[in-house]
Amino acid sequence: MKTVLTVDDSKVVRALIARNLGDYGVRVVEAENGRDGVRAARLHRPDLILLDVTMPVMDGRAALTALRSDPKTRSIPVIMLSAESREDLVGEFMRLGVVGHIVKPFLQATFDAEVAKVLGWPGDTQGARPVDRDASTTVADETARALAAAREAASATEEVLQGLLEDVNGCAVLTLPEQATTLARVVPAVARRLRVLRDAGQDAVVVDLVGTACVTAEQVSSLVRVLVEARSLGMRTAVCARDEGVMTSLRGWEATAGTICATTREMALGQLR
Amino acid sequence: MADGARSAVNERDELRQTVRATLSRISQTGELPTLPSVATAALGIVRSPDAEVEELCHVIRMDVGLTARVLRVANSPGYGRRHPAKSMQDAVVTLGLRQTCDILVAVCARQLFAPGPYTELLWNHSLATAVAAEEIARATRLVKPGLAFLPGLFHDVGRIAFQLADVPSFTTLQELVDAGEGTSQTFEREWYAFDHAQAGCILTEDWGLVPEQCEAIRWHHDPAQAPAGHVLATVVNAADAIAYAIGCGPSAKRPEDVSTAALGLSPEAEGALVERIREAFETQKQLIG
Repeated sequence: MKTVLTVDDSKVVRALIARNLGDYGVRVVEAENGRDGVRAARLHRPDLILLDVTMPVMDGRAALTALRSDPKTRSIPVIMLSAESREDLVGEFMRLGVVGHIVKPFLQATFDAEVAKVLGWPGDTQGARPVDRDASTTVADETARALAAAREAASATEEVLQGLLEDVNGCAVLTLPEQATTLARVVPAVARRLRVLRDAGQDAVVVDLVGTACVTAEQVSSLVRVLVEARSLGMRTAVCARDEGVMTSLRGWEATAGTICATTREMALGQLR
Repeated sequence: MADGARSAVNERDELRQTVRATLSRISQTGELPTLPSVATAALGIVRSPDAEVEELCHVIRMDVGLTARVLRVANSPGYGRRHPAKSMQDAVVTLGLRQTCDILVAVCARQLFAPGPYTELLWNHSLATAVAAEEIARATRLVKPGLAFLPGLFHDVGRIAFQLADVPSFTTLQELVDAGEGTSQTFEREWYAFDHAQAGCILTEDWGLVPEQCEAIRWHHDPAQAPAGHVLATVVNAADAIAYAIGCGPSAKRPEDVSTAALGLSPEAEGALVERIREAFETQKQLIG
């Protein structure tokens, strides 16, 4: 069974995280501050750490530094939790090498979108749910099944990604899907693909929201991660949206990603060229 | 503007922004809970110094259900009319502009409390607190009775906003409070960064309650801190305690910070007041639902 360590000084946040992790079939270990969290991480070697930023005794940034400087805990994936959604925080956490950032208070869907990057989706075959071990099941059988599931998952992700990310005359165009979770799910794959595109000489990304009349918080959060990722790769970005409401919610993120807003894909492509 | 006043304005702006942004972000619809437009229109009319009966009648007449409800209240025995009111104008004159508006808002507010075991308890608690606040105001003359009903009715509307936005989180918070792990305000601040009293203050400000009423909602757990509307906050706090005393608490245990002590009533006077409130609540419950 996988282990998740929750480090937060708030009892209610720890209780809500434990409830949200209910479907994942994981063991949950809790700590009330960064110092205890680092100790618990060394002791339990969790598969994932959910780390609050603001805590007494030792805050999340200091705890993260301590975790990264210890070979025993260096490679454990960390998702930061914070009450603030400041644009510079997203960038800072990305630079610190965390796998995700969740703003409190959060809905289960937002939580799942981040946690699934490490644990897989609850109920998915590729997820991290413990498998009921039949006495006759051999290690070889289990490994083969896990590999097949992983291949299937990877191909499904690639299939989704194919429809979302395309190459238009030397410019990467990412189309925002209707489902918030779809984008959140493929963000790591999008980031990998952007690196490949950049290596192939593309230095610009257009995020196309022209067919979208409503942008959810989860979509914005996933979108910002893509934009920040692209900027960290030295790529220029533009976002196109026809809907005025969508445009308004995106303008708040212009500074974070240094992005350009346009009303059509053609205008966005033209401005980037 | 003095530094203190400027800082209070800044603090309120910041709270307003945080409450709106957080509730919109976590709600499924991306929108804040609203009162039906007929209620906000009525509140706007009553706030105006030139408010006219016909203007309010016009708003009520647009909704057949509301028209019937207001006539039913005006013709109830409590208002002692010899002949039943047949027109809306008769009904509004019998009840008075302010009270007609209170009834109308209460009927509209009922819709916010969607059916569910906890919301039903919370609705009864809200209505009982509204009735109690009005009766306390009448008995003690601490504030005008017409000012007290709505802050009583909406003192816990922040909880409804939390529940409408995200039921599972709200349920977990409530379970921790019921298990005696801490107070709802503490847990709400830890999770949402503001509590139900602060959320209720911002929502009712948007709905058109007067600033004194909004302040009373914000400080109903801590009236001494209220910069304005201090007395009204004390009345709502005591009304909250009496709602528990007549068996209309949303949870088994009464919060420690609500009390009738600040009213300075003798035990006999308080006993009589509680009985009057019990009866008035039963009547209003039958009329409003």
